[in-house]
Amino acid sequence: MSMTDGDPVIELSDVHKIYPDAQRERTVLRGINATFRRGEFVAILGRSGSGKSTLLNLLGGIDLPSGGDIRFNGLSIANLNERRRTLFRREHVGFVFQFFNLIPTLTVFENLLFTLDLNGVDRARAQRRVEELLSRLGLSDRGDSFPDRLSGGEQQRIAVARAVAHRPSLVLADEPTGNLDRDTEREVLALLREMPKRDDTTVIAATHSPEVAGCADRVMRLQDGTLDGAQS
Amino acid sequence: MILARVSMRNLLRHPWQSILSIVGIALGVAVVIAIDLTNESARRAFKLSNQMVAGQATHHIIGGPSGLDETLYRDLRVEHGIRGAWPVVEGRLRLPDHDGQRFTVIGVDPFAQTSHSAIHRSTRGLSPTELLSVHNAALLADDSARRLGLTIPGELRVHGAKGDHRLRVTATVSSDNALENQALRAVVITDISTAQVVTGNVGRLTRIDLELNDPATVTRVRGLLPPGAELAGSAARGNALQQMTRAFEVNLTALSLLALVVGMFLIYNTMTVSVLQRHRQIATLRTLGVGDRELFASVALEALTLGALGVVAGIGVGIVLSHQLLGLVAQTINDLYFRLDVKQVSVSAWSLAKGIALGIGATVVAALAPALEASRVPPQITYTRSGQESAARGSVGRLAWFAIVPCVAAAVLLLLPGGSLYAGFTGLFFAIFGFALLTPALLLLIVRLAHPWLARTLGLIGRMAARGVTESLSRTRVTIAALAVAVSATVGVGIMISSFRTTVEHWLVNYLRADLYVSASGSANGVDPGLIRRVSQLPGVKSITTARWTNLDGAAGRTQLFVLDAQSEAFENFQFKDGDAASAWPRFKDRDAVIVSEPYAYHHRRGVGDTVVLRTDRGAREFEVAGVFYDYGSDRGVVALHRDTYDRHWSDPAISSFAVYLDAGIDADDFAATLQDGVLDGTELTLRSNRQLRALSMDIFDRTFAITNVLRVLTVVIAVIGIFSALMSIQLERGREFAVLRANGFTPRQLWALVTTETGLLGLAAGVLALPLGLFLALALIFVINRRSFGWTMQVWLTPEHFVLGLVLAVAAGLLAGIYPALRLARTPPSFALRHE
Repeated sequence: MSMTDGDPVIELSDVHKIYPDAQRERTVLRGINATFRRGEFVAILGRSGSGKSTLLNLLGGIDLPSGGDIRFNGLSIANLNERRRTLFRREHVGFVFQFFNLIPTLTVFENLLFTLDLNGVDRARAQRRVEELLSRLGLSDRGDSFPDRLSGGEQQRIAVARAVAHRPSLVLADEPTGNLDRDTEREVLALLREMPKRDDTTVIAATHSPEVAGCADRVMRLQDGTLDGAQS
Repeated sequence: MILARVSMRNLLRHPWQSILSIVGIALGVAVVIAIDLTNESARRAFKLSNQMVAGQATHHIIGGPSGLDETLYRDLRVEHGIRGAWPVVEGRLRLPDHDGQRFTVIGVDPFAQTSHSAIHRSTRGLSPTELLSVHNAALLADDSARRLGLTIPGELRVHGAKGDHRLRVTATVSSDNALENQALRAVVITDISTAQVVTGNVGRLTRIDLELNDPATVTRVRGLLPPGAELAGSAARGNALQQMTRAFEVNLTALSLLALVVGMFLIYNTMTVSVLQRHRQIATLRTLGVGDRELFASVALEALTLGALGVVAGIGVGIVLSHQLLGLVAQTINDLYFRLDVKQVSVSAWSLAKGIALGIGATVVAALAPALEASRVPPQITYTRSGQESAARGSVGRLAWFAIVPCVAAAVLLLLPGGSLYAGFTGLFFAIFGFALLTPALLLLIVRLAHPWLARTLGLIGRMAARGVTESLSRTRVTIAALAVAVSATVGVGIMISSFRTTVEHWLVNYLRADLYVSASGSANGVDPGLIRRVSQLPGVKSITTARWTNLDGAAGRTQLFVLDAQSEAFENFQFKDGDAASAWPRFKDRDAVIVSEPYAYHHRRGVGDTVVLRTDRGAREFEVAGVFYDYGSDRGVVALHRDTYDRHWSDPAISSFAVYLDAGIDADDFAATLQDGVLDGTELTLRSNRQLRALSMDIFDRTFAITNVLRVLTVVIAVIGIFSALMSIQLERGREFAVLRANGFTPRQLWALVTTETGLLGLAAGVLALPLGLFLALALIFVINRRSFGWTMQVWLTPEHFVLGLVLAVAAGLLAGIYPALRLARTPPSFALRHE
């Protein structure tokens, strides 16, 4: 698949994000227009505080834009209420965080089961899916372990698997390798490239890392609230 | 669902926090259930004894203090054909050969049988001749005969009004019903005339029981009654009697609810801290698509799990506790109200259901805010502890302003004239809630004031400890409020009890001015007037006053009469609240005026110049109130009248007690010894010196408040568990921060000092906050609750020990709560804490 041949999954038109500060308003995103297509891996580069995480939050329906529109498969996310946006995330979005954020009170197996369970996948199918993911990660023997017993690399691999377990249309990764050493970063990146591809999932990763940018289908730069290379 | 597993595992990850919360709510529920079971058991015992007395009777004919003429019964039955009528003679007697055990003698008509359900059923198989064929025949319960080691037929020596009598126990009786058997335990059944002889009431009946099922017959019987007799419905009469203990029960229930409220604070605090600590995890869940309602339900489920476990444990502890409290409650009812034989806790499903509903309800209410907080956590993973704390500090002002609402509600409910007792307690709880809302602002103020002193005395550690308190406000504010409320309750109740005690002591000093008191110890036997004459002729006796204590029972309840035969000097022992001795005396002595005690005036809304209606032997009659006097002997109130007035309207020559005033220079102890050996020996009378009687009164006072003290202690225990749990979790949460300190050169000892200084400072703040609230509670208890419950006026006596004790208690709780986390944190290698946080 080339970088332009997928259908548009998510489209941003003139998206603004302004945070009201105590003294004055802070504009983080200024009129962003972008389209992300099915199955592509996009890296968004930018300095700390450039608004990368804000952009991901808007794409995932975690936050709402101050202006403009974000459409997911034609549906305006900005017009959804809190409950509908939660259900949208639950069904269509997977998240990978810099600090893994696995649920500490659930085992590895249960962490992977979590989004399937939320989406009402029947227990037998969900278990088969988790076993398949664990086997692909080579962590089948760690299913009963709690996250704090795993290394950072193992935790992030599980986090990637959790993000794709329910086969979402979109995976949003916020500095997915920011907390890992070089070798582990490569392992996780390979997973992040390979796992969503099977389901034609779009991956958008906010990163500082040239390694991540290096393996993306498309690299965009966020600077001064605008996105360079936004047109695919 | 897997989310439920997240909740349950969260509880299991912090087992101590969970266990302490369960213990807290369990104790709260246990106290509520124990008090309810105890009250319920007392009520049940009362109903049982009332039912045993009333049996199938729907009405009773009651006379004055000397009962009814027995001819009334004969007239009703024979002349007027009222068949459903049973005569009853009842009295107290003692068994001299069996350690002076006290029994009730009940005289029944073997041919008319009896309305007494227990006696009726137990004597069903017996022929009337069992009681009539033998002189002084009597029946005993199987169990009593066994207990006394009596062979049947056998002889039983009893001591009644006029001395010893030998009864012939011809048969034993028993009932199929266990409760009725219990009611028969201390009863001797005889025929009417034997009972009359034994009780010294020949020709008199205690009452006549009736079964009247149509209103026309009721009206007819009422028309047949002589003056001085009254027809009362048995249920209404029982209710009126039971109402006497209502205020006492309400006070106990309110105190037990306070324990539950403190338990509620605990659940609220545990859940709030838990939500705050898991802010990042909750945000992750939100990001992954968990909805606000699911998060709300998840936190509520955690709270309900803790609550349910606490309730289950609370039921068990409550039942055990109720067995311990029953004796204290029964003692108080016997000391203050009426004779009640209650030894068994009857565990009613209703009491348990109330306890369960209150426990679960309290948990749900306490968990609402934290569950709402969890559901409002935004999905952004931008958690900062400092953000939470600045939000908490930001809300301090709003909370303080909002405190105005419950404070105004409290003021209205407490100060509104004529408000009910329930309104008073609701006001008190509003005041506590308002105070809890003010706590964060006051806590910040106290720490700000303490900061310079801490910095001067403890240097860096002092500054860090002060900062640590304000930087943990989101976690500490509820804990401090809960501890402050519990400590203030102990300070407030302590001040109230000691003020009450001192007031009573002062009152007794003025009221009990005679040197010696001789009483018939509550038996109906009374004091022989001849004996009083002999005593009055003894050298050294200056004067004697006699008293008759009796009750006028009626449909509207019981009126206690205090009949005093005294000269004007003794009358001056009364301390008047309304009116004065000089103007009241002539009317009291010669013009049929009465004086009433303060509680009587309060409950019946009577003052000087008003009248009270009393049922005399010649019918109901109005008596003018000449004064209202302070009296702390009865919370329902007393009507006092002169012996001459009493004799003019009642035919009851009995004397209950007499007081001896000695000439100056006569040693009361020497005279008491002479009196005991020379005159009172062999009688049933009890001689007490002024000092002994005062000591006895104070013993009764202390016994009355024994249960209050137990509840106070339990409330403080719950609060200490709360602060222990909360402070422990707060300190352990900061493991990484402390590990950084250790890594940078803080010694374990310095860490220990920092943690305990911080928790000690929190305890101190709670203690300081508890003092004004404690004083407020004391004033509200003295001037509102006590007044609306009992109608007593008390002087406020403030002594430093209550305040010092409250402060020490709070600081000790804080320090104690800091010891474990301090030890654990000091022993944890910093590398371990840094790695695992």
